[in-house]
Amino acid sequence: MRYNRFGSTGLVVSELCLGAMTFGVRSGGFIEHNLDQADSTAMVRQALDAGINFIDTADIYTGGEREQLGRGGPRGPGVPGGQGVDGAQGMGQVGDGVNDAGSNRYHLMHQIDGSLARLGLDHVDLYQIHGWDPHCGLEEQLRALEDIVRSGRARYVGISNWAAWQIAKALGIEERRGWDGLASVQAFYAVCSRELERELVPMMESEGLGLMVWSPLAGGLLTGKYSRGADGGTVGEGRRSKFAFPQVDEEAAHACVDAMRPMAERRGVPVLATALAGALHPAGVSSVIVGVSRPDQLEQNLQASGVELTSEELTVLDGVAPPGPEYPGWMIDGQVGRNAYRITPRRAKR
Amino acid sequence: MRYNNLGNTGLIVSEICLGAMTFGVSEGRFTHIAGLGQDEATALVRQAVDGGVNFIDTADVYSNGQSEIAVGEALRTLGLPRGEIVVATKGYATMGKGPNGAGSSRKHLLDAIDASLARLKLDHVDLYQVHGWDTQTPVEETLATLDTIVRSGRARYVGVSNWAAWHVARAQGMARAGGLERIASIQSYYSLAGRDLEREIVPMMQTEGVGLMVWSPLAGGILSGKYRRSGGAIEGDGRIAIGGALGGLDLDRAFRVVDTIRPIAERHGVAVASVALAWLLQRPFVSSVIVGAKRPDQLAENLAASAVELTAEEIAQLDAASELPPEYPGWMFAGQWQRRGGASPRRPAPLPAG
Repeated sequence: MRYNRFGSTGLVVSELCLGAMTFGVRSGGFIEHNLDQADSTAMVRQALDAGINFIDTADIYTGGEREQLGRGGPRGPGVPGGQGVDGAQGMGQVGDGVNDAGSNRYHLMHQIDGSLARLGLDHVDLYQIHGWDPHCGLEEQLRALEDIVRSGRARYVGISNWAAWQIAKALGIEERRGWDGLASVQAFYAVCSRELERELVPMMESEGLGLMVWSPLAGGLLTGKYSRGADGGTVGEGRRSKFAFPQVDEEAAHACVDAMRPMAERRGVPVLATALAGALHPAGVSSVIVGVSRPDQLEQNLQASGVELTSEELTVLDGVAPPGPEYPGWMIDGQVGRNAYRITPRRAKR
Repeated sequence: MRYNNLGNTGLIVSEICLGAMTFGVSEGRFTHIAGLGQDEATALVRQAVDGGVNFIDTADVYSNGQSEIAVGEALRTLGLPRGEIVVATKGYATMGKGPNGAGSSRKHLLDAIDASLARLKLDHVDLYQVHGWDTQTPVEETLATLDTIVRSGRARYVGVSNWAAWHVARAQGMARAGGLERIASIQSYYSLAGRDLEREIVPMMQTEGVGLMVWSPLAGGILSGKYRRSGGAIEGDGRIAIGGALGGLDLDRAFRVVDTIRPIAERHGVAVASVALAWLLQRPFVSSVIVGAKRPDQLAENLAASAVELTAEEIAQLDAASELPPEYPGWMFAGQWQRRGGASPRRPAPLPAG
């Protein structure tokens, strides 16, 4: 297992993070899953044994039950204190009341205390706002995060599913107020879905934020267990066939799988291991979150850590499903290209 | 002609801005775009001002300074009172030899605006814009220089062009923290053939109070309706037919939009271009749409857009034909905001908070 600095913080996390969205028992709804406490604990044990030190959960997953299951995880198998890194997320709709969702101070404080109680922990290592709240001022949200760190409830704070400009704006407010900055962004990225490269990746690189990638297998499309159907659609057994999330260009996903099959075969690893390795490459990736419902799936995911794609393979993969040109990306590329001669350092500048 | 505030400023500009990229004669990148001599340029300025335009946009790089010379000369020839005209120009592009002949450093920007003022023969411009994002200059230095430009009287307002949304959001925060002049406007490409701006820049502008100046509203001319598709080729009399299409243009979408516009234009008795521009003018976040013309009849078509009132149904048709494919995080917002619930005021909630 490799380990990365978490953005520009001093925290070190495994490049694979165990996502706990599958923990709990639920049929239908957000995602069907059937992992009881014993199954969940075994999954955590397996991940830790492979070197994973990073687990991500959220209040909204399985109505909070998942956080309780995680509770038996890090402690149940007898993990020394301070070794594991736990992330939790708030904001999602967890009740029927008008204030049972969002990022206002009322809700965030209520939620993190609820999360800590469910986890049976006195603090989490990372607390993340799960989405952009159109009904709450940014300063209030950031002040709440600052108070969460100062009060000892979390060591670091981050966000998930925000646009680049929203984060850039938040950084300016934090700077002005002298608050702890956001450490990380949790966002959707996969070798077949690279919209993130337009604004978020350059912003994170410039501002030193760490990226946690969610759904690196594009909801399972990059596992290799789906294929093109006769009608051009997608066929295969799995969660994706019942719940088509996230939004993905399925043809791009199939093309990526085609390109990765020989790479996987050469190494004797499953296709999904090369897809995870591919998602680990963009600048600023701190960790890629893997979510599984069976031990053999986790075993396959863990193999990604041993996969080093060659520069030739990365070039091939880069060419399969690049995000199409959009403004201002193509303009910035042209202008920066025309001015490229200006500095000519001997060493490549990052 | 209608008039808008430029973003959150008190400056009021016509909703159509005359772009001077066609002015001047030079070798190089602008040969095909420009080529108008002084008399033709002066006549276009006269025609625009007679049509109610009070806003002219140029840049140092246009025909290597010739455009600025032509704008200044036209203003003097026509005897337009300085207080009745809003002059905008830009710096950043390569204008000199050597590594400091371009960019957004203090050295280059101050050199660049002084050279622009000399060519325009003006003691100040009303809006000075940084023409692109400079990866080699800290944005703090650029903001401090823009502040100097306003404090020293060289410009009344400052803006940027071709920046990404996060660039502007970051800079606006620094300007506020440092008490520096804020960015008043962003000049960006936006058209019915390319609504890329709506992903990040438009929501950013709305919470940051930045005004939008639209460049290439006809997508390099493809929305003028003068091009037709013949097999794989584009036919028509203009620069696109000779390979000058705008970067990133999705031709299928562009021609689908033109096909949608044609019957609407016929109903209103106006040109295709006028409808394409009218759609932009009816977007609530647009401060001004920059039109560039080589001939008086083209400018007339452009000015006619100001009088076109598209119906809600027509706008819906154009919206549908030009819709952007969903991308992350946009599609995530749609789902999360719907699930979020919360306030249900009788009056529409204000713009997304930020």
